[in-house]
Amino acid sequence: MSAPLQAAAALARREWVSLLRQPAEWLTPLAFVVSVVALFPIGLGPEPARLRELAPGLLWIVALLASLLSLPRLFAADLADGSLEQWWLSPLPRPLAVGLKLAVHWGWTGLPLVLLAPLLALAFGVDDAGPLALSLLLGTPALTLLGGLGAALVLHARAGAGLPALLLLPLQVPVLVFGTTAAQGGSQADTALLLLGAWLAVLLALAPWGTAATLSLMLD
Amino acid sequence: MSLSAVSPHLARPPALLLQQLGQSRGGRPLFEGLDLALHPGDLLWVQGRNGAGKTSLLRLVCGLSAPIAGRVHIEQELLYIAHKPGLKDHLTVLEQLRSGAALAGRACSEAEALAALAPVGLADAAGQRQARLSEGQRRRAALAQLWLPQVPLLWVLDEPVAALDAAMVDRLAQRLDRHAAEGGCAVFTSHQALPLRREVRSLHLGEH
Amino acid sequence: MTSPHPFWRYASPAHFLSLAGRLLPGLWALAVLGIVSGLALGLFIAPTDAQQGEAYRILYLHVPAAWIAMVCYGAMAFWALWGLAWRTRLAFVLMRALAPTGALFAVLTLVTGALWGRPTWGTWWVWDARLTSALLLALLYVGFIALTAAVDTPDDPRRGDHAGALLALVGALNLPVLYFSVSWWNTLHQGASIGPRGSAIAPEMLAGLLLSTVGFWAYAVAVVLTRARRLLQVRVASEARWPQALGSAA
Repeated sequence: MSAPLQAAAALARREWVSLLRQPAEWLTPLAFVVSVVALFPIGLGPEPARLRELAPGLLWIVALLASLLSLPRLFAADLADGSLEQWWLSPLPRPLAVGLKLAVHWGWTGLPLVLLAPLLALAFGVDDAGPLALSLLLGTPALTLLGGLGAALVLHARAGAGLPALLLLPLQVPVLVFGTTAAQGGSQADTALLLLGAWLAVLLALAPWGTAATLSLMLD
Repeated sequence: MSLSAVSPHLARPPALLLQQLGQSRGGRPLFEGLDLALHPGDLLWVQGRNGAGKTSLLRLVCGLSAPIAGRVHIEQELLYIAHKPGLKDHLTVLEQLRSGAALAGRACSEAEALAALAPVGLADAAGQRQARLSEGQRRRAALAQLWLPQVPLLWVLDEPVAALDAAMVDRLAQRLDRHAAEGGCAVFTSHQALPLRREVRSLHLGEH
Repeated sequence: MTSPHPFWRYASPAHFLSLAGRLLPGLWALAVLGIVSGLALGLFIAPTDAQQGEAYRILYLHVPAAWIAMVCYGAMAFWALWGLAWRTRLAFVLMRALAPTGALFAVLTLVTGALWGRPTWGTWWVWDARLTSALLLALLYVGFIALTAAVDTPDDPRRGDHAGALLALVGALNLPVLYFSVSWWNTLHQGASIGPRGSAIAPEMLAGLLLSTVGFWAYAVAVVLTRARRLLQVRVASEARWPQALGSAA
C-alpha cells in the first residue's frame, strides 16, 4: 500500500477507535437531542396539531444545536496532545485528512440522528419521517463540513462554547432553510432537497480545503 | 547507505539547509540571519534558555511554521518528535506506535513494533492504554519509533530526554550515534548534555 | 531593481498615515454637509408620502445604512484576501477598522427598520428578507469582532488577523447563498416586506436620499480611516519595543 493510503487508513481507523472507546463524545450530543425534543412539547403544550406543524423546524434546530455541541472540539484535542502536527506532517493530503476526520465524526454523530429521525418524529406526532430523514441525511453532512471550518477558526480562541455557535449560526442558515423546507414535505420539498444537495456538493468540494488552509495558518 | 570515508561532506547535498533564517514570535524577534547546513552524519544540539526560540526553530525545520525571513531546504523525509508527541490516551502503546508509523507512511508489522518497544522498556506495557502511563513512560513510548526498521534520515527531536532516567538517556544516545554512523542526522534540543560518542555541533539561541 | 509602482508606497505606514491625515478633514466636512442637508430635505422639506405618511422618512437613514453595512463587509473581505495574499500589515488593519463601523450600520439598519415597521405594520419587527439578512449580517460582524478578540495575543496580532481574515472570507462567500436562502424562505412563507413602494418619488425626496447617502458614506470612510490610523500607530509602536535578538551558529 502506498504511503498516503497507509496514512489515510491509519487516520480513519484512529478516529473511529477514538469515538468507539470514548462513547461520551457521541452519546452526549444524542442525549442532548433527545432531552431537548422532550422539552419542546412540555414548553409548547401537547396539542398534536401544533406539534406536528412545528416538528420539522424544531427538529432541525435541535440537529443544528447538537452539531454546535460536538464539532468545535474536533481539532482542539489533537492540538492539545500534539497529534494535529503529526497528521499534518504525514504524506496524507491535508484536505483529505480533514475530510476523513469529519466523515468519521459524522458517522458517529450525524448518521445516528438520521437513523433516530423516525423516533424523533414520533415524539411530535409525525407519522411519515421520510422527508425529515432524507433532509437530515443531506443536511447533517453539510452542518459537519461547515462546523469543521468553524472548529479550525476557533483553534486558538480563548472562549467558551458560545463563540463557535456565534460564528457558525449565520453560516448555517442556508442549511437550516433548505433542510426545514425539505423536511416539511409538500410542493417545495423537492426544490429544497435539490438546493440542499447542491449546497452539500459545494461544501464537499470547498470546505475540507478551506479548513486545511485555516489550520495551516493557525498552526503557524 | 554507505558513506564515503574520504570526502563525506562533499559526496552528497546537505540533508538540511537553513539560509538567512529569521523568526519572531509574539511580535518579538527570536533570531535572524541564521545560516546552517546539516550533512549526513551530523548531530546538532540546539541550546538556549526557555523562550529563546528552540522549539520555533524546530517547527521551522519541519515546515510547521513559515519563517519571517530566509528559507529552509530539506532534502528528504523527516521524523519529528515534539515535546507533546501526539500520544492518544485511548490507544494502547502498541496501537499508538503502529498508528503513528502508518500515519507517517511507514507502516510496520506487530512484530516490528514489539521489537521497537523492547529498547525503551515498554514491551510489557504494549497492551496498556496510554492514559495510564507515567510521564517517563509516555516519553519513552514517543521515542520507541526511533527503533523501528524504517526510519527517515533526518530526525528532529524536541526535548527528547525530559523525564528520562540515566539508563534510558544512554540508550537514546547510543541510538543517535548509530543513526549518525549509518548516514542519518539529527537536530535536537536538550537542557542537559547527551552522552554521545560522536562529535556534536552546537547552536546557541538567545543572548550568550 | 525597478522601483515598485507608486501605489505600493501607501502600504508603508508612514505614507498611509499622512494620506489619511490629508483626506480626513475633507471627509468630515463632506459628512456633516451631506447628512445635515440630506436629513433637512428628507425630514422637513420633502412632501409627505401619499401611502406611508410621515413614517417613510426613516428610509433616509435605513437605505444608506443597509448599503453601507453590506459594502463594509465586502471591503472587509477584500482586505482580508489582500492581507492573506500579500501579507501586508495595512490590509489587516483596514479589515479590522471596518468591522465596528459595519456592525454599527448593520444595527442601524435593524433599528431604522423597526422604527419604520412600528407605524406601518403595528409591530416593532417583521421578518422580511432584507431585515433578516441585515440581522444575520450584524451577527457576522459581531462574530468577527468576537473571534479576533478571542484569538488575539498581546503584542502579536498575527493570529487574530489570520483567523479574522478567514472568517471574513468564509462569510463573504456564504453571503450570496445566505441572501438567496433568506429571500426564498421569505417568499415561501409570504412574509411582510419593507421598503419604498412603487409610488412616484418627488425630486426633493430623491435629492434628500442622495445627499444623506453621500454624507453617511463620507462619515463611514472618515471613521474607518481614523480607526485604521490609530490601529496602525499602535502596531508600529509595539513592534518598535523589542530590541533585536542575538543568534549564532557554532
